[in-house]
Amino acid sequence: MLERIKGVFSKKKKPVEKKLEEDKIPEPEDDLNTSSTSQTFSNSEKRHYQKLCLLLSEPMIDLKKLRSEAWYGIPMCYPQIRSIVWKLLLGYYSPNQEFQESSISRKREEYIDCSRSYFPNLAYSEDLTETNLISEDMSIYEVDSFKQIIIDVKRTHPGEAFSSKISKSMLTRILFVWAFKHPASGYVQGINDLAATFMYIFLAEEIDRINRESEGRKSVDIDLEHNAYDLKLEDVDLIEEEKIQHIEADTYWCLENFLETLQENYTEHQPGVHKIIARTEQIVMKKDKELMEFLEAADYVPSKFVYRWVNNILSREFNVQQLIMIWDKIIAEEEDITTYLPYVCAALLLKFSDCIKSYAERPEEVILLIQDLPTREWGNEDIKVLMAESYQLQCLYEFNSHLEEK
Amino acid sequence: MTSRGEDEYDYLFKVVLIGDSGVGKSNLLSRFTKNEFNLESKTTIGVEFATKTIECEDKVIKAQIWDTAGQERYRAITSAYYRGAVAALLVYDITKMNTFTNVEKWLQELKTYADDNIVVMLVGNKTDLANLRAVKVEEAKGFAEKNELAFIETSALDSTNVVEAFEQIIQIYHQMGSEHIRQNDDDDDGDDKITKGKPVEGISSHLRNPVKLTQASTEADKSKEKKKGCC
Ligand SMILES: Nc1nc2c(ncn2[C@@H]2O[C@H](COP(=O)(O)OP(=O)(O)OP(=O)(O)O)[C@@H](O)[C@H]2O)c(=O)[nH]1
Ligand SMILES: [Mg+2]
Repeated sequence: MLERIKGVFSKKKKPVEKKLEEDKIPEPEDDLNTSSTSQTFSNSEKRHYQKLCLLLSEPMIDLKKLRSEAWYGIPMCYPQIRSIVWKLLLGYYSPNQEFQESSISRKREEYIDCSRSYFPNLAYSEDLTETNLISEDMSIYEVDSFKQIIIDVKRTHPGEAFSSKISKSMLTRILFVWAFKHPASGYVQGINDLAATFMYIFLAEEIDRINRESEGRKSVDIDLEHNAYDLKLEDVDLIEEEKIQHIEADTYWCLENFLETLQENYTEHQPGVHKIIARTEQIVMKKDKELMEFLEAADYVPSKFVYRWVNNILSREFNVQQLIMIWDKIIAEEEDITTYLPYVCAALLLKFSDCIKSYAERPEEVILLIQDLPTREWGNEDIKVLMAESYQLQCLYEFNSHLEEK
Repeated sequence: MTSRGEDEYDYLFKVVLIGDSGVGKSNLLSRFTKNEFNLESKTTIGVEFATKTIECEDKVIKAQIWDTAGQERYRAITSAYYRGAVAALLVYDITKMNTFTNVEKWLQELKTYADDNIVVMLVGNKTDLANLRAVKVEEAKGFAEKNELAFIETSALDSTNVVEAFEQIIQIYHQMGSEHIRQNDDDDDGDDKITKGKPVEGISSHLRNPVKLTQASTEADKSKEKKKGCC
């Protein structure tokens, strides 16, 4: 389905033009070719993966090509690739490999310094209570931010791994430093879920590395059926403190960069959220007028119910592994997240169009459905189809709207 | 209390849950509707919705409950849901003084956005944390009386008074509506019992004459709101 749609709408995402020279393909290729005949991974997925490896091995990484290649998705078995790709595409890592290391360590230090100024003594094993964290010389803004963050960190758990004291103290620091640096919006609920998603990606990467090492596997060995994102609570304890600090800093910077285009989502009255919802409504109206009219007539304009979708960039509507697949594409989008997200939201709403319309006499059911989508039952294929459908909508309406403007 | 089929009911009541973030609104709701409690329940973004059908004086009553986000940033969207609500549970955390101090602000919000005749119950949650108590029962009770609010203390964790809170507020409303108001002001003999202040002023006629519902809206709702719907 994805391939077909991409075939039809190939105007925008051109496949990487460069013809790959066989001898340049890095080692993973061998493992891929010999790996078990998995039906979930098509040959084209293997090719994309190989191309990603190749692009990442260049001294000067071509971000444009990386973007279009990453758009096809990144296998769940190799968290290292995803981690690097996201960091590059979010503008945290420099594409110039020569300077990469020094710029990363500078950024990490910058974060750690800032964090230390707030948490001089906080050990990773400490309990996060108001008495531990709040001191008398803090401003009201700082105290209020802390209070909210402490309540919310307890309630942030994309997976088991987030029940550990280490994860919780990392997340607390990240959110607080972010709040301190962005007083225009301050900490707003939802940002905790976004930060946790990045942290999850980077924790998985490190835990996967540790597991590979202990099992004596080479870092290039790859088993496409392996899912590296199934983290256990005790896994986090395996990570050494220096790495924890790096993961914390990396999460901070990715969050910071990710939110740069989303600032307006969290400032007073959340104008950014409303804009994305309005755009979602426009798209649904064009594609399925009947659905939109149905929702309007029942006084259930999407704005009321897709609010959380937009506010949390879908992190509440899917489990973390499904979300990662969706964010792969959202992050790989050329334009910022705010242009692409409405298409994903519209595609998601349209998926339930028939179901919603069948509830004509039972409007409550519509709300109950939308606030608790049956996405838990979805498999990877369903996510791929959703993303293909979002892309299809984008091709239909974004190009058209450009034409209309002209 | 018995539950019947989802669509058989005599009255429909819209209730909102409001109060500071983290006081336990979502857990009170899940305890009431699903008998579930979750220490790691997620923060509420915007509003969430649930229903529960209960029996009260031979009538089947369906409560539509809107659980709102407590964080200030969401006030603009949550306040839109106050309209049409006949009752509000205003929740604070008995272990956090500032959540009680903020009750004033929440009353102000109700005054601005809710219908005038809304019945309000002040709910002090987390009584299981007795050793951390920061808000005295007497203080809260006094405040409730002064402001003509019903009052109860609950624990979503150990289930104390949760069903009672919802049932009692529905009962108060129902009694007012059926013109069976008995002013049992003196009936405040313990924390477990609801202490109802004087009936809220200005109960409009539609509250006194609840209409048998067919669809998910009352006559009064229909006359007040252009569009039909359950909110
Ligand atoms: N000990 C105890 N903890 C509770 C009780 N009710 C809720 N909690 C805890 O308090 C925290 C917040 O509870 P929620 O129900 O999510 O709070 P809320 O009022 O819905 O918060 P927002 O959605 O942010 O407005 C969670 O960690 C709950 O487990 C209670 O009765 N006793
Ligand atoms: Mg809540």
